[in-house]
Amino acid sequence: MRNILAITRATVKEAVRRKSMAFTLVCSLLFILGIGALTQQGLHKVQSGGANLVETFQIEGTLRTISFFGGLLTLLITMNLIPLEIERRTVYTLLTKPLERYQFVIGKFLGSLILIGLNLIVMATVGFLLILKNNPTYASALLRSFGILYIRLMPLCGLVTLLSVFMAPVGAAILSWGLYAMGQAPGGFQQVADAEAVHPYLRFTAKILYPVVKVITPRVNKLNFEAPILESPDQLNAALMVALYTAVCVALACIVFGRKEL
Amino acid sequence: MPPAIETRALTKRFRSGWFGKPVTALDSLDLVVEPGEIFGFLGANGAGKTTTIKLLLRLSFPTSGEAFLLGHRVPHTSTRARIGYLPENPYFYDYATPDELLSLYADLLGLSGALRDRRIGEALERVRMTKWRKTPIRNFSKGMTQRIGVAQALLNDPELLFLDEPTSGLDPVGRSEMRDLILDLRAAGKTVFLNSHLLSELENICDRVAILRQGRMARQGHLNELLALYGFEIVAENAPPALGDEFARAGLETETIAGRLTVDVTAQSDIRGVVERIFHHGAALVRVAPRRERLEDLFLQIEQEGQTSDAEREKSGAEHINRGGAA
Repeated sequence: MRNILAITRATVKEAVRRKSMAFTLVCSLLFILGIGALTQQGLHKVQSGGANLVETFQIEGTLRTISFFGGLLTLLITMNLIPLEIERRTVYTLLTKPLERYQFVIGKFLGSLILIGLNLIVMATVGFLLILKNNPTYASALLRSFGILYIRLMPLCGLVTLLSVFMAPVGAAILSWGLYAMGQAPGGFQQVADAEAVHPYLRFTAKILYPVVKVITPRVNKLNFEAPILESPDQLNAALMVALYTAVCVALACIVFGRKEL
Repeated sequence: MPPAIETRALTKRFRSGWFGKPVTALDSLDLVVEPGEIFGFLGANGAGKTTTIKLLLRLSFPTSGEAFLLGHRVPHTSTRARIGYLPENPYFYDYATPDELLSLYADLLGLSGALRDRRIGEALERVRMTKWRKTPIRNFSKGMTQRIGVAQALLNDPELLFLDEPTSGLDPVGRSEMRDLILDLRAAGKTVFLNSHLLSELENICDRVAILRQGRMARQGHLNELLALYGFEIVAENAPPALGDEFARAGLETETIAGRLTVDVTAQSDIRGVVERIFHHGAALVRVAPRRERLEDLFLQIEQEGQTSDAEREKSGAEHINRGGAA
């Protein structure tokens, strides 16, 4: 555990200095502040009864901004973590110490998770303060939403970690994002497969692809970060499935990296 | 006591791409490095030196054969706590200071508390970087970074040290210090596996060397055995011209430059007579040294032999194909 924590610490210390991460974070904050400003404008001008619509705009807009930029930051943070160590050969001096390769991968992954969490905290603090200024009753629901947002990004982090072990960083990021996006709406394949109006070849392809997509994509569609506020269903099972998916990705990354020629 | 390093028929083949022809980077390497010696590992670029080090340090995996470090079969994680490694042109997290970087390595080596602080201090002192321990590595020159590389390799007081081009980027003073450090390590009973292109440096400090050519062991042994002895060189100062003439008349090869007389003798038995004549003429004896073949000469000879045999093999292969075509 000591080795893993040492790598995690080094990962966090190195990544917080990256300009790309700071730039993306600043962009996300500008978006969130923009949504807050628009909401304030809207609340002043809206007729009675329309305030709820403006509030919903602010909540959805803020959460989706955090979700989008959180995903982007996850890709930016994770895609280079292992490839860069190999390219710069910093991995040589690390792995020739009594450090197992799986410890290195897990340390890197945990470092990513911490960095993603730190970025989300910054975005959520700004966004949620603006929401709570208008309606303080949302506090606990927003905290739950924050938790769901974070859990949703875990499989993306796991996927990028896995793919970046054997792919070029940009390729790993694009493919991971694609799989993650498919995981948000896997039912689309089922709908195409069942639709009578669709060309038979397309239906056939969708029928074959659907089970594959179900297995290889993270099923984040059941993990709705807007749900704590808009509805309130129990999302524990969905969260467990996503955590399991992430664990499988990291385990596979450990196996692949364990056999990698450096 | 087991050998510090032992390889048995260690072989590595690479395949470039899915359908590429396999290339043999290392072919049945048998190597034994005894504890406490400085072992020089030589070869032209692409000879398989780095591949060998990577296989020994488990950065790469052998196609066949086996390797042992300090008596344990590779890979053996805990053995790595007894090994130090300086890669060629080392690169470290440039945001970190030497203190932070060495703390990370100390964590991985399982060092803690006072021992950890003491080892970090000693390692930095040894490479004369104590003054810079709080400065980020990004501000360092190549030579300073190389020193930090040495410090991390020495952090665990290793029994076996792999140094890949250790003098790369160092100025003459740094090189001299590195040479002294390596000799100190041997005096302390450590084994040093040295990979360098600077043959004159290796010649001065190595006990044994191995020369690789195209992934195969071309020559291995003690320098005394490998380098042919041509004779002896006797140097005297303030020698009168008559002394040089006397040696020349006796059929010895002499050379006088600015009053410094150099006499070459081929047989050891001739040394005594020459030295007596030098004293007789009141000249000062400066040195009596064996004249050996240089390591560089041996290295070039092996390369030339290899190229000749390669050319012959290609020629006979082409003739064989031509005969087949004619038939």
